Amino acid sequence: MKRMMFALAVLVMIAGSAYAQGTIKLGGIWTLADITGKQGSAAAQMAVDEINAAGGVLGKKLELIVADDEGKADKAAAAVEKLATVDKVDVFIGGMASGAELGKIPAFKKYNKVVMSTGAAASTVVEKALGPSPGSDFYFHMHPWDYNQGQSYLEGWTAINKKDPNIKIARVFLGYEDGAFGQSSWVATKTLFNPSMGFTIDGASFKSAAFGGGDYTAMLEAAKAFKPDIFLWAGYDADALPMLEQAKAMKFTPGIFLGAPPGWPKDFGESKLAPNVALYGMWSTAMNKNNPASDKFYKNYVAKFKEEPATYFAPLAYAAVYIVADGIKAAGTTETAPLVKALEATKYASPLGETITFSPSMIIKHQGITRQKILQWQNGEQQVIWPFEAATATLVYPFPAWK
Amino acid sequence: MAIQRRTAIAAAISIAVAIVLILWKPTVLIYGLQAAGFYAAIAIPMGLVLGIVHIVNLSHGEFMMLASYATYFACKALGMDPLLAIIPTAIVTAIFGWVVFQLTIRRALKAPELNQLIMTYGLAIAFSQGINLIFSTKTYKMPLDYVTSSMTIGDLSFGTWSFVFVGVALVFMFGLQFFLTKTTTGKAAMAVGQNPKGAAIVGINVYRTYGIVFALALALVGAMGALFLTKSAIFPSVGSPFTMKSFCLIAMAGVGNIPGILSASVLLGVTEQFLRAFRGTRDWAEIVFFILIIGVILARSYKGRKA
Amino acid sequence: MLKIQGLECGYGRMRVLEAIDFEVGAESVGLFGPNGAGKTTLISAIMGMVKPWKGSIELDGQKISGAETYSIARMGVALVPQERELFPGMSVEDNLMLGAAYIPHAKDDIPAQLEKIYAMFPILKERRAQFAGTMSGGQQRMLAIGRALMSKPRLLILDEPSLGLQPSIVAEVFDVLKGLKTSVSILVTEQNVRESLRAIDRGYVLENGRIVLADSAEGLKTNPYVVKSYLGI
Repeated sequence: MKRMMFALAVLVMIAGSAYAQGTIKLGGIWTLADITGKQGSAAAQMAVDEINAAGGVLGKKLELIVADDEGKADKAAAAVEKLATVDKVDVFIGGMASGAELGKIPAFKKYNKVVMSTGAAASTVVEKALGPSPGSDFYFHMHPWDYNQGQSYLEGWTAINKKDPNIKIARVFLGYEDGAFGQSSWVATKTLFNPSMGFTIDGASFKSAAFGGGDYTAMLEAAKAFKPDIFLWAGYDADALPMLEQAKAMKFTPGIFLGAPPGWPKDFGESKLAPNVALYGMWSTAMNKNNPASDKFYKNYVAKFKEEPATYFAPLAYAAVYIVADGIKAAGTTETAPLVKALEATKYASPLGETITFSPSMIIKHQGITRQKILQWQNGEQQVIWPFEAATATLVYPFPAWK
Repeated sequence: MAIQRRTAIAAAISIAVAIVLILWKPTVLIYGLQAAGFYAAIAIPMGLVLGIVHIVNLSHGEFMMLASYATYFACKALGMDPLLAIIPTAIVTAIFGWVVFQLTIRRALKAPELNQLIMTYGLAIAFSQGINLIFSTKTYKMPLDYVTSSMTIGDLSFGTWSFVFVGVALVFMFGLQFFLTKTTTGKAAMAVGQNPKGAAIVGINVYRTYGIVFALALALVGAMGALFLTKSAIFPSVGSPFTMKSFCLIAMAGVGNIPGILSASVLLGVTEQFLRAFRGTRDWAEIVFFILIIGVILARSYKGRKA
Repeated sequence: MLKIQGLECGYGRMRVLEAIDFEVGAESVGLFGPNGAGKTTLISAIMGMVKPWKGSIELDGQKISGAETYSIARMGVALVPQERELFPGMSVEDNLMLGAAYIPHAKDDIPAQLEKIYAMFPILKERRAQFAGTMSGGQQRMLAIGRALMSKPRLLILDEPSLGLQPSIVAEVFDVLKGLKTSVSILVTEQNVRESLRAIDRGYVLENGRIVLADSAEGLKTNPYVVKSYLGI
């Protein structure tokens, strides 16, 4: 019996190592209970399958090994350890919440393998922990940092205002959920729409429906009294429709009504209140019209998983795999130093509507996307309004279509 | 006599506060009452279970979440309005609750309280994770026209739909009062709640009564679940904050005091809205909840010691 | 009526009663013994609140050992517990009503029964709307008896009905018992042996979980052991 077990173990080891020789392993870490992680990991797997079907990389197959961080820093750190030591992955991808990402960084630094990160916007947390080049050169941050996002909003609205002077954005009101996300949005928005630049800004907090709130009346009363040109809200998808409903009931009608949740509720576009609501984002199905990479990604994803990609984290994860695969091809190896060098030359026409390249940001050396898009719900779909080069529609102004 | 005088004083103060608010900050009263109705309508069924079955049902909010999901998908499939689903959902949820009671909670009734808490908490996790597995964390919201119904008086425009919850809370409260004090089954339920041993020796099947009360509470939860869908978006964890909120309202009211839940809700709702109406106190609204709870419970224990 | 054979039971691993043979016919039976002898346990066993380890309990030839308390109550066994076990936050009348509401042979007769009980205890009629929990101990005891009688019992069990009552009320309680004797079988446990011997036909003496003596009321009154230990002469 013992001898048989030994033989079996040897067999497994031989088979395992032989298999390992033929694959390049990607370690993907996501929060799998969340829709962003569920679809992000699925989209990454789809990219791996596509690349393998087209002959793989350097004659080897790609293999994606997924670990769950449950959205927690400690689990995320453990996931890195496990992928690095047990699965011996060559490259890491994935990531969403900044808190979980922070947990991974010490382990990332320890193993010094290339990381293609798809999330983590909080610069003061994650970018600071990564530190400057060359210590953080292994880390490629695809997602914009929070200050990148803010800068692009200001840039976008200024451009829209320049194009059509009727569209005023002098008075800004932010409704923000009272958690960390909303509070940091409030701080960022105040700095961004600075009085010295001619803006008048005010804000009020509300308790998000995601945490047992859902009563926006007091916040909306304050907003209504302020008479803003643009009303922004920073909350979660669960807040989107109820807030609109309460705004309509209170006859609150700002010229621009913009929501900035991480995702939108299912079938939001079908609501009669949705038309002309503006939003920020990185990707929308409307882009399939004029972006072939987006169209290809979308069609394959729907065919494979029988559901729509709900957030931009799906095309972002998909893009991450392609960028890594192209980099390994160019470098001819998965060794960190040559791979980093190859990735620095990345020029990937992504399904997110722009060609991804890496350039230095405030602290780190490899920042990918820096612009977020201004979108607007029109005919049940998110249309791209700005950047104008990616636009699929023009801004409908003023906002309430429900009158 | 003393009680009557105290009630009269409380009523007089409430009316005075209401008049001041109508003249000064009418939205505080309007939205405060709407919020109160919403809180109370969710908390009352939990109060019923706690008062009679003596179980702190930590899966209370999750049961409502399940009812909302059931309503959403039934309405989507049949093209039906959630308002038409109130009674069917109530019936289905009641049956489901009865089954869950017989399979799980009943087994834990004689167990120490901590075990009961862990069990209902386990149910809560099982329900929300089950829904998460099937539907993911994505939120669903039914687009309905009547929820934006509005009323304008002078410069003041406000939503009127949420007054429905005030009505629901009153129906729940008076309905339960009638059931518990005027019907034989209701009296038996009260008896079981006050003294299960005494109830058994007069021929009342205590466990069956617990099951009936639990199912009745879940019928109310189900009805509220259907209505919840009109106001709120739904997602797997949508119910859990309401468990805690409901429990705190019950603690404020005192176990077994169903009208007290309504008063506690009004106190909480109006105070929250009052604080939110001013820039300086806006962020205090969340804290006031806990201050009120601590205050009321301290006041009650002090009064209890004096008596 | 009630027949117990070879009963043995207890709590957890502690045996309280053993080898109990016991019978109540169409009569009043007293059960005497010191504190901790097992009187209340025996009553709990009859009512299904303590499950027997061995032996059988029959009511009119029907086995009731192992049945649930509520179904034993519905068969016509009414208990007036030592702790009264009323519904303190409900009115006197609701307490009485519930005494009959779940008893098949009594539930259709509630108004008439109520009148009977009110005639027996006028104080209850006076306080019919008052919460049971706000009444004095003696009144609560009367209410507990009244509630038991509402069920038109075949067997009425009273556990220490005079405990904690002032003598005038004890006398009243026993007068009621004497009045009932003809219509229902009665089992009564008492520490007040002298008073209860007036009301019963037969009695058992229970000590350390065993029946040590069984005799008629007359026999017990003259038994030297009873006289010495229980009548205190």
